Amino acid sequence: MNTDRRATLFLIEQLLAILFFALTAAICVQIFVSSQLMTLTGEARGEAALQAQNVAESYKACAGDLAAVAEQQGGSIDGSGLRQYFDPNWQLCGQEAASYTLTLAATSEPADPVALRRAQLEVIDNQGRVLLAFPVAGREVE
Amino acid sequence: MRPPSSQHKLGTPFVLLVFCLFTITLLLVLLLGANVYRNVNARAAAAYDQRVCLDYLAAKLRHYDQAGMVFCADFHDPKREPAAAELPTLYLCQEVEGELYQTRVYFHDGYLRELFAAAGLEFAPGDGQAVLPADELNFDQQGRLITIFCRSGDQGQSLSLLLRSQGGAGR
Repeated sequence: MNTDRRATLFLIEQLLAILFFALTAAICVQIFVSSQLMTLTGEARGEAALQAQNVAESYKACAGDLAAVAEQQGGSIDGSGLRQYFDPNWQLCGQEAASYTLTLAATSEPADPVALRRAQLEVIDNQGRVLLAFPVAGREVE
Repeated sequence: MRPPSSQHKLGTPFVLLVFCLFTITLLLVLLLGANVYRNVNARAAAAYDQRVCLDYLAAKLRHYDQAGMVFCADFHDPKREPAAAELPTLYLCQEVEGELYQTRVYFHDGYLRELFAAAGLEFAPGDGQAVLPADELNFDQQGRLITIFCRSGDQGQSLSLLLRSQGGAGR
């Protein structure tokens, strides 16, 4: 009878421990997953910043000429501006295989060639989340 | 003496089974945690290896960005175009007490190297100070736009930097 009671008590103790463990494990797994996601997002943002910087510097060097930027940095020009498509390893690729898209859209194109030209630069992932966005400007330097 | 009850016979293996299950799940969660930690660390290390070289060079270039004081050329011939260079080198120039000094930044023997000396002196690539390990480093220049390519490990990265100083593309 005593042995039975001891086994039952041990079982209850075990079940309580498992319940506590299940709760803490669920919290831990959530933390692990979110840390993994944060690392991936941080990595993507770092790469996006590098690619965006390249295009922005090129935009300044080309005095706001999007076609010249496309020639220097790669990408294609469509109605909304310059577009670059990147695969998951941040190598330039076609639209079908793209995981990330960089867009450089002109917001001000004055007729005066030495006037300041402005554009909006944006990098998004394939779920439409904006990784970073900032305005750029450039003009002809005599 | 009483014979063991059927409840006891069933209870002990069940308790043991629950205990084993608990231990296995505990180990699995620990393994998962260790794996995530290792992944995060490996990614951080890879990102550091890839970016540190470019960030270092970008900071250097910005520091020396004065008219005609930053340009890309060959290690042995500062007048040769970087596209035709045997050993592409980034020249960062500064004047010290009226005399021109150059810091040559280049890749040789698995390292990004720096060599600081008065302009016009001849050196061998091995004379430079090894700064950072790398697998490949290249420089290109189109007008005021300098593009640095650095590879550490499998994948390389490019960084384009526009010289802010007007007439900065000196040689």
